[in-house]
Amino acid sequence: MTITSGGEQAQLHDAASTGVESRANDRSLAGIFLTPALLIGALIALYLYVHSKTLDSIEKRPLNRAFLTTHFIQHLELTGLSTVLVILTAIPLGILLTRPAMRRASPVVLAIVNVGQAVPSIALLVLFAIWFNVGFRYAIVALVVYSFLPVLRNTMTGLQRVDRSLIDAARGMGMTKPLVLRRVELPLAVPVMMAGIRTALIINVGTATLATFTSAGGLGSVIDVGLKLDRRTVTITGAVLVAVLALAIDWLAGLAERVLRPRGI
Amino acid sequence: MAEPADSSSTGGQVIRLEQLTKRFPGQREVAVEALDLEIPAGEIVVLVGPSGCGKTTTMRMVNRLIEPSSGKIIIGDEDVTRSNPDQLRRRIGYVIQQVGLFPHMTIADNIAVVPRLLGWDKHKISERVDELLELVGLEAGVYRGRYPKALSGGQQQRVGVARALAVDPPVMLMDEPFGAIDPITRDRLQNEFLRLQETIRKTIVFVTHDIHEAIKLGDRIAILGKGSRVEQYDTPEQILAHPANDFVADFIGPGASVRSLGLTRLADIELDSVPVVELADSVDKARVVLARTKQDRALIVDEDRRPRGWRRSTDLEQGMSSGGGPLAVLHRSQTVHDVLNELLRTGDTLAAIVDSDGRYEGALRLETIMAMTANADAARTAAADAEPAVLVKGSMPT
Repeated sequence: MTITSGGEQAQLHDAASTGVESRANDRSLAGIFLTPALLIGALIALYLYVHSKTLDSIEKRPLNRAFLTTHFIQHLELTGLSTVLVILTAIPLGILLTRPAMRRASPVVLAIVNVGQAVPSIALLVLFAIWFNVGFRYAIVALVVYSFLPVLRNTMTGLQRVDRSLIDAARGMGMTKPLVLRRVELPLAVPVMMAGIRTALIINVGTATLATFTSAGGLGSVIDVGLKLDRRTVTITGAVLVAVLALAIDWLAGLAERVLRPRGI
Repeated sequence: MAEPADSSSTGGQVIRLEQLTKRFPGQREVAVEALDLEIPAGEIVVLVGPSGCGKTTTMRMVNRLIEPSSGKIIIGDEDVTRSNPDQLRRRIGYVIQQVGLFPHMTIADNIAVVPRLLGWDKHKISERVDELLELVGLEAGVYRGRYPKALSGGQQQRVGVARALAVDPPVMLMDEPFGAIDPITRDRLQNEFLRLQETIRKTIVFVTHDIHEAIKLGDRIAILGKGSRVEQYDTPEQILAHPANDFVADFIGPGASVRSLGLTRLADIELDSVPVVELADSVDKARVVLARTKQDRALIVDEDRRPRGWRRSTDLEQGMSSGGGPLAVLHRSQTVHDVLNELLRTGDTLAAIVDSDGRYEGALRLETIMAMTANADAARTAAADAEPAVLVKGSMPT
């Protein structure tokens, strides 16, 4: 029924008997802890690798706690803020476009939003920087535009996929339209919507790496410094940190999908 | 607006549709044209007709899921054509073919939807949920906390009915509720539904395209043609016996006389009487009884008057207790059709009829059943002025 990442099929069929259910959960628990274990392993490996090198004064400038933390937090802010803004705008728009009164506008809106996604991310960032200005704020706008589509589309798909007979039953019992949306349509659309949000997060954490080119900071800056100064250790550190962050965020999003999926579906 | 959920339920209210019309925008033909229909309180009225005749549209106008273009809907004494549709629907039970249980809610939460809308307190809701689950034959302790997907189709529709009854509405709308259920379960659910209706006495508008279901369930049947035109509106007996026109005759199809036997309950007809002898009585007494009544056999009953077997004068030599062939025993709530079936099965020509405690009440002969169908024309003439309940009809459609 719903778009899910693999490995969660077991949950879809959670049986009435609790015994079966808990066994299925045990199996997926192993999967849940595998990813963080691997990520921590990668970080330790990176730490040991950097420490095995004798760093020169150029390398020491980026490869210290203060520099890395600043850019790591910037990266998180870029990703987090843009995703929150996407959620706050794309979900309401998706809801609006699936209401009967607005349904006719949806192809037009989808076409426009699609342009945002079709343009390469770096081009979008640069274009926004040229149109408006460089810096954190405009990078956020570019990220929002770029990751808008998956959330919008999945919100719409999730809502459209809700069985019409459920809405008929709900209306027939005397639920008002807003109540049907809140109690029936949205809860049932959550899995599909969450998949869209997860995609947006992944897009944003990756694209935020490019935000350094419009002076918006982030871990991309670490890679950029490494490349410009021709210091491999720095480049690798930046790249591994971005990769680990992206995987960690994906893992968290997967966890959220699992927790937020209503029981019974 | 809602009645309190005590175990005594409120009965039905009359529904009147006056000149009800629905014209969908962009369609040339009128979906429902100037329909007048009165649905008596506490009865099951089945709207039946070929697909596209507007029966579902008609039903959905009663709770205004489809707004009528013109005309009036009156429930009880109240014209609800202009009242708040959400408020209106909360006091009309609604059951659909797809059941429409919310998959993300437990069975209990599904049933509690309307009580919650009406702001019932938690304790009362929980009591009502348990009561309803038991009412539809599901053990509350087992099913309350389950999710719909863990239930079979038949069980889901039981919950669907329970949910519709949650706030004890006087009126229920049912749109092919058993249409998607396998034939065996459907038959059982129909029987249980009839039994349930005997206690709850709701006014029920039931939509189906299946004439057999209509005949089985309906107190009255409205056979609808194009544009929801009422081709005939009458009791199943009358429709089978006197189809109003060719459309109705075609729609009910052949075999109406046998089918009408299935509508005649033994409780509603005058039974034949046979000589009765107690098991403890002497063979001589049995002989005397048979001679006096000039019958060829007597029914042997035990001390509780339960039928034990037939005894002919010829086999009385063997004493009272030995068997005398298969015995067809039927309950008063069964139909003449059931008797016919049982007689064909046992190869006998006489069946014993018992009351709810299994005590002898009377008998029914094959000749009597045949006379019912053969003399149907005469019976029909007499039927016109008498109470429908005591009539035996079964003529071929004319």
